[in-house]
Amino acid sequence: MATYLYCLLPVSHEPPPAALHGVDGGPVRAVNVGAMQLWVSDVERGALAPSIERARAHDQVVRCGLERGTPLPARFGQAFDSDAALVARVRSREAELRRTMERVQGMVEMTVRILSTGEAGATAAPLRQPGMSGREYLSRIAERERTWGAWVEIAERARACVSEAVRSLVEAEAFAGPTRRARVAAISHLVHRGNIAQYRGALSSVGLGGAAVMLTVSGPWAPYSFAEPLGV
Amino acid sequence: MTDQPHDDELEDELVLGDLLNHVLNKGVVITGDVTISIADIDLIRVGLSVLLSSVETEERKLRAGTPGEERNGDVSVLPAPGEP
Repeated sequence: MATYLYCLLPVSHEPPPAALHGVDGGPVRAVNVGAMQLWVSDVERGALAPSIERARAHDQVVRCGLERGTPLPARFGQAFDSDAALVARVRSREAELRRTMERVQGMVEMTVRILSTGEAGATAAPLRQPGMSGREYLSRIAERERTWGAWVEIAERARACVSEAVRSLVEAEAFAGPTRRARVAAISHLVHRGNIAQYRGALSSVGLGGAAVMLTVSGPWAPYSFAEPLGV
Repeated sequence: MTDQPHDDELEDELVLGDLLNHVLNKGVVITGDVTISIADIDLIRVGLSVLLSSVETEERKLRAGTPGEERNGDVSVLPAPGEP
């Protein structure tokens, strides 16, 4: 068996409940390393293929940690040969992990998605089609670049509006801009637990100046987007 | 058909897309060799494509069924994953 990691919590917090099961049904337990407890379960050795069920199971465990405090969530798919191997890896980064954990205590992540509702975010037509002339082909390339540029501009403007609206309520912000493959942008905010309702209220009054976008907000999440040490 | 089931479905898909993006794409990396390659993982593309197609469907429905209704600049407050 291998040791699968879900999240890290201060050792002062309650350990996982006995009834908590994780990826592939393994019971979740805590392994202590200095001032931290690591929530883990046993999984079969070998590559752990991602699936919706496993992703949900991973998040359920992290979410349980979120009920006890603010966990530092681990990315999906990290399994170690043994508890000892995991502990050795964590010990080698113990100071920076503890600092990052302390930084996010008492906070949660809220995520705002920016979705285009206009042609700027539309999926481009296939570039090449049978019988298409060279001129048409070049015209399609130009059109694709135009709509892409327009969408990036819209997403950046929407980001600025959202950031401004919640500025006084967030400790940190992370922005994942749109890619050509997925024309969705995401803004993640680190927010104090006590400010969640106020944060949602501030978002509901964001003015986007008629931009063809829809915003969605989800959370609270464990601080997935703020789990790496600063500067990494 | 009422709007409610469609809206619930859209919300479920958006929440799933966010869940996949958080769990598979973010979080602290302790080991140097995470089992999955994050940058190009198919599952994320699947999640986002579900999400995008849902938005497009929503837009088509609005254009066809409720002329004059303006959705630009909407903020949809989704339930947290696991919330009823």
